[in-house]
Amino acid sequence: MSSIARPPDPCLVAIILIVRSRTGPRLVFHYPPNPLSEHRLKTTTKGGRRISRTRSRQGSRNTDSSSSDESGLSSDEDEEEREPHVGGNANANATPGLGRRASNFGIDNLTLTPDAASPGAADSQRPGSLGSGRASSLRKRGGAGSDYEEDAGSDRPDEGPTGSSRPPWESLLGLPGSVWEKLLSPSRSWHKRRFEVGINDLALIGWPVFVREDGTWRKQRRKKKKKPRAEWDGGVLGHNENAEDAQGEDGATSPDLGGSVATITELTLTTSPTEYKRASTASGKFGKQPDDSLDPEDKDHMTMFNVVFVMDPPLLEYSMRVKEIYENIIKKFAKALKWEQARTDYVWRESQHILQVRRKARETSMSTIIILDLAFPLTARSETSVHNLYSELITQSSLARAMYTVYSSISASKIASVSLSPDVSISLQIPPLTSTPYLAGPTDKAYPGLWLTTADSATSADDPVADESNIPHQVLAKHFALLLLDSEAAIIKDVEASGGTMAPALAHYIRCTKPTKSFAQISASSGIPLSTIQMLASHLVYWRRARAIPPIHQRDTYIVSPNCDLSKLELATIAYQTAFPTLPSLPKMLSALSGTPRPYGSFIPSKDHKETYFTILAWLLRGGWVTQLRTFAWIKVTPEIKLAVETALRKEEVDRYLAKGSTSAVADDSDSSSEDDAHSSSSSSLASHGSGDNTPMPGRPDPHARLRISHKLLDRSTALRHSSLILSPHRASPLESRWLDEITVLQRYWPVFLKYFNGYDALEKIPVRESLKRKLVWHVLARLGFVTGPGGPIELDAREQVLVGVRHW
Amino acid sequence: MIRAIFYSKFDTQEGPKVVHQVPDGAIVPSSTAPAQPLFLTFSDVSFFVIPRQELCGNLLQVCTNGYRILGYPICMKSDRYARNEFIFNFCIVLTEEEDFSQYKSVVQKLADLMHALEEQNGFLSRDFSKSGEGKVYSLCEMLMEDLNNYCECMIPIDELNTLNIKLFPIYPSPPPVKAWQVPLFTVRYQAFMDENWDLSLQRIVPYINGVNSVRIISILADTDFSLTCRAIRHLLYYGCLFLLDIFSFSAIYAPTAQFSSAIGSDEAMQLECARYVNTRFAPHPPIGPQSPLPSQIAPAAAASSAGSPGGAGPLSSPLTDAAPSLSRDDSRFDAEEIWPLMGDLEDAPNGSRKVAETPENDTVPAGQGPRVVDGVGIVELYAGLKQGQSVKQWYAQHSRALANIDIRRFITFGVIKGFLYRVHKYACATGQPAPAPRSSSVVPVNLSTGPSSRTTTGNNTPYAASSVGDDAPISARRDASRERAASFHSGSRGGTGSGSAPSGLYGDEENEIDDRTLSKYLDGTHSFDQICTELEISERELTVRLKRYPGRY
Repeated sequence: MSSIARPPDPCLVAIILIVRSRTGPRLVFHYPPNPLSEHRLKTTTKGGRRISRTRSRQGSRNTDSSSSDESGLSSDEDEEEREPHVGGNANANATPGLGRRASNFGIDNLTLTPDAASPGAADSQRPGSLGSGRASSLRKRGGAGSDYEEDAGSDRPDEGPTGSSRPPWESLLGLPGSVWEKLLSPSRSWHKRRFEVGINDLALIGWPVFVREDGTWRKQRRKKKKKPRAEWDGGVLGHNENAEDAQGEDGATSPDLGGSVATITELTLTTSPTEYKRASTASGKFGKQPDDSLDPEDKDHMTMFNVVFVMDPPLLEYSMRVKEIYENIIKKFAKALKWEQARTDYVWRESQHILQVRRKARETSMSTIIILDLAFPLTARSETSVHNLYSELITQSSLARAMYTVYSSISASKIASVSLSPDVSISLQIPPLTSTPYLAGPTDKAYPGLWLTTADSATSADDPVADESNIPHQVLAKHFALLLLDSEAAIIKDVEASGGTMAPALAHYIRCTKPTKSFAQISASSGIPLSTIQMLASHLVYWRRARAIPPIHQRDTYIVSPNCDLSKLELATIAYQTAFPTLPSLPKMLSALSGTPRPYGSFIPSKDHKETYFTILAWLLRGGWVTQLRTFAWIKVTPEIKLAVETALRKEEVDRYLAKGSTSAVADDSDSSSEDDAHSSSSSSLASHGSGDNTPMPGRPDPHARLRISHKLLDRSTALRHSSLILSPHRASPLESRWLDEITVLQRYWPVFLKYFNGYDALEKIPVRESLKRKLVWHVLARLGFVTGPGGPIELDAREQVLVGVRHW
Repeated sequence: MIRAIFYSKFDTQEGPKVVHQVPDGAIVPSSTAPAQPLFLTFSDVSFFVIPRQELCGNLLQVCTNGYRILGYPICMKSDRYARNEFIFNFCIVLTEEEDFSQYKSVVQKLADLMHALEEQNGFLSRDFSKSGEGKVYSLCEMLMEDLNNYCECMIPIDELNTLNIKLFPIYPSPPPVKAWQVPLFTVRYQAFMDENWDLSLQRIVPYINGVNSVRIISILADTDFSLTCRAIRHLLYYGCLFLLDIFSFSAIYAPTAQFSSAIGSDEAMQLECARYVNTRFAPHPPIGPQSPLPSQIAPAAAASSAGSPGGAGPLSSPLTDAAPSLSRDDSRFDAEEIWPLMGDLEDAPNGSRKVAETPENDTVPAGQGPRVVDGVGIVELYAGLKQGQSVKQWYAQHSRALANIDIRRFITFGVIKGFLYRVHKYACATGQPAPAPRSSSVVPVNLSTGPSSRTTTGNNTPYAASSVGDDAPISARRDASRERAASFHSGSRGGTGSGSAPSGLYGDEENEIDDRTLSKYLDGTHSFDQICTELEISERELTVRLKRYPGRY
């Protein structure tokens, strides 16, 4: 069951590595070999994504659907036309709209490269190439320029093989490598900064690293070897090597996920041991190669490297997408490379190796072309050669492989596990969206299947009462529970397979944890310290193995999520059937939960079924099929209360007038402000008063403040006639406090409950946080006017019915 | 906001060079400018301002030093130029975080115009004026000033050319419109419609009233369905419309998580709601489907519309409330009259004051409370809507409070403001092969809907009355679903879909829908509204029809 809600769309088009040495910048490697065409391929097979993107882009110009489709297509055509590479045929056939171009498509392949490369050929107003954006304007211009280019393209097929043909991988997105080399090797002012360049609709983002003046790649501090971490800006990377020593202190204590990544790789496990081995042998092999063949570059030194990520974010999401990938991927990946570069001259070594392989491939490909002549279609030929070259590079160079992995994982919104060398591996991901409180409307972008809830596990957001925890990063609230997103066995297996020092602790914790028990409870029952649990849990959450939820309870209510992804119903039904063969089918279960909301317990047929039904509920929550219906409430102040307070205030006022003369105005003034504070804060912690009492304002001798209140009251005389809600009882205004005092009911629990009646804190939290029995809590709430579920008939006192409640997720 | 505009060209002697800059001294040091830090180091970005030829003719941007530079380099070839080419670029500088989308077209347009001017008479190449002087400079200056101040400019350049630019905000493109959605204007279209509008748009517009579904609109306006959809989508793009679902008394609505931040805490919104739903202000009787909706409900921008509670009572009828409410003194606002009156107590009983369920309903103890539904009363009414309970049932419980409230508007208001959502119903045929075709599941989802207007009025009584055992797993979801589920169970006995229809009323029609057609809709992805609209049946007919759906699929 894919349970994680749809992750963000990375919009990744390609990754490029540029290095600069004394001989100038070189485009060393890029993946995929032929970026935008693969992109297209994905679209034609997979549909949705790209299309929607095109649409939203079109939105900027035109809402009219048909014309936007058209220009969407033509922009693709554009790319296609320019793309010197392979792999287009399938697309052309698959997409009817592209078929038009299929005729000369194969031919374009080789010839366009020189076309773009030799400036003379193009009336180079618009060499075009980076086509994604310009479609409409190209047409608008009467197409003179572009037509011309097209013709040129198809007219010169014969020139291809004989002319100055370059191997197809020497250019990228229709521009020769040299253009990219110039564009993407910025000046030193970008050292370790965000480098962002845009070409039409493409955004190119990098984090260039320059060699230091002294020729090294990092500050020489103390011993070079021993202190890798000293160099980590914020310690974002996970290295197994560090894991050994760092795990103990850092890993265990740091709640900051970025910081505890030392162990990341242990969990993510995409590299199997065998692959790992291959990696190391490969690197061993090419460790020698450069020595054998003496390059001119041999004596050369790298002065800069820049890994550039090419993206095509929709215009309206531009900054968000760019930021996401920059913070989570680009920077971290480049930092890892920098670290390895400093340690073992890694980037430069690998670059030289890649360049060498490419040189060789070029020689062979040239000769093949000449020998084969036109016996085979050019497309096929260049396709093979590109393919061969890339598979060779990816097997031989760990850097090429790393870029390949990052590209393929990230563009699929997965976790990329990259090992640069046997010692160094990192995991990268763009953290997915895991929940949302917003239900998309008919015109909004929807993420069906996303967990719909207001329950936010980050402590600060979940606990408005406790403001002090303003940590940006995820300390999971202790009253949350862990919902594993995969079977316990599977996760444990993965954890153990990965080895690593954290594995036993993780496995132990995973065995102990239950979605029905909060972290605090698990801590108490298992003896694992709460902070450790929070750390382990947030680790699992961050790496997509689990989700933090309010603990499942049979007295809580669950509804079918309005955001569930019904298109997956069929598959899910089958999976559900397999998981719970003897129980009612998924549709039946959903149907049952679609009724008038009632506590989950009422669906459980018997005590024996309890465990199973909790498993079912966990399953349903995992898939976003259901969500908890939570209850929110405010205190309602009726006109009667207001009137009573008003009367009391007036009376006090009169009394005060009579007693006037004894107090000094100056003193009062200074008092009053502080009094206000004291007043409101005292109301926020009514608990400290012990029992609320009927005396309206115990020990509060502040005539002036009261005078003001009453004036305000007079101003708002109409408000008197209507009820109103107290929106934040723990920060009540003086007047509201008077009302609250007047209301005071249920002396025992009122102070405890009061702060939850703000419309934002779910009442379901009360039992968990205050360690009260749910039954009791709901009984109290029912007396206060909030009846849910099978409360049973309680004797209700109208005077106590002070709550206005609403239920949502 | 544009921070700077500069014009740069490739100088055969000096290389890339900034010719004019606004403001002075922003990009390169200037003797005439007051001493100030430069925005950026030009040499850092010159590779991009004057790029290699291959990149000319593309929209380029680069970020440096907290600024984003947008440019559109142009390379012109002609033998009248030294080295036979002329490369120039007009760049716009924004701060890095600023949304640059709308400036892309500005840069492009500027480049195009300059290209043309240069072609016509060497406008640029013959401009030898000093930096900070001359036509090109003043053009840049005016452009920046006008765009920053007025978001548009119209700068005459010579007798033939004018630079016309307007900044258009870019909105997300709305998704395709569905037949069962109900558009509702957020603006008074009469105010800005003219005869130049698209013809189908003109025909459609009068039928957009928050009641008619897209399909009905296309029928009423006699326009092609797909054209109707496109026209509506167009209006949607500009935020002139909302899409709602088809209102019906059998529909279910429930609060969303926005409840607390919207109606729950926003008193202005409560007032706005009262004004909108109070039948006293309605131009037409209560549930009058034709009532054109006042435009006050601005989209999400509640602020604008909510602003004026004082002037709210324009229609305030002279006979304010006769009901004896608390002693009213003269200081009373007219805002007071906004709140809908409660119905008479006699209306209330209806036997439906369910004691077990929501006893807080009739919030005010009879007799002494105010006889109006005030802000809190409105909140309570909304909070009373919940999953598994149709509008009809809800109405039955609150009929007294709702006596002077337009129910449809009441619901619509919540949906528009986003604190209510429509709980959709889906049918799902289970039981793959023959023997046990099981229940259909009913799954709520948000979105909108829109079957025929037949369902609009509360004519669903028949099945609302039917009830099945409470303990059925399908619970009280909704009478209809219960029936259907039950019928599936019974239906499993045989695949005979042709049996006499239980409800004679619509029998004939139903028979026309064969099981194959129906089965396409029963995979759980089609809401009842959709099925009803596409099959052109009422929800009731569908429910009846589903009962007879055989187990074959």
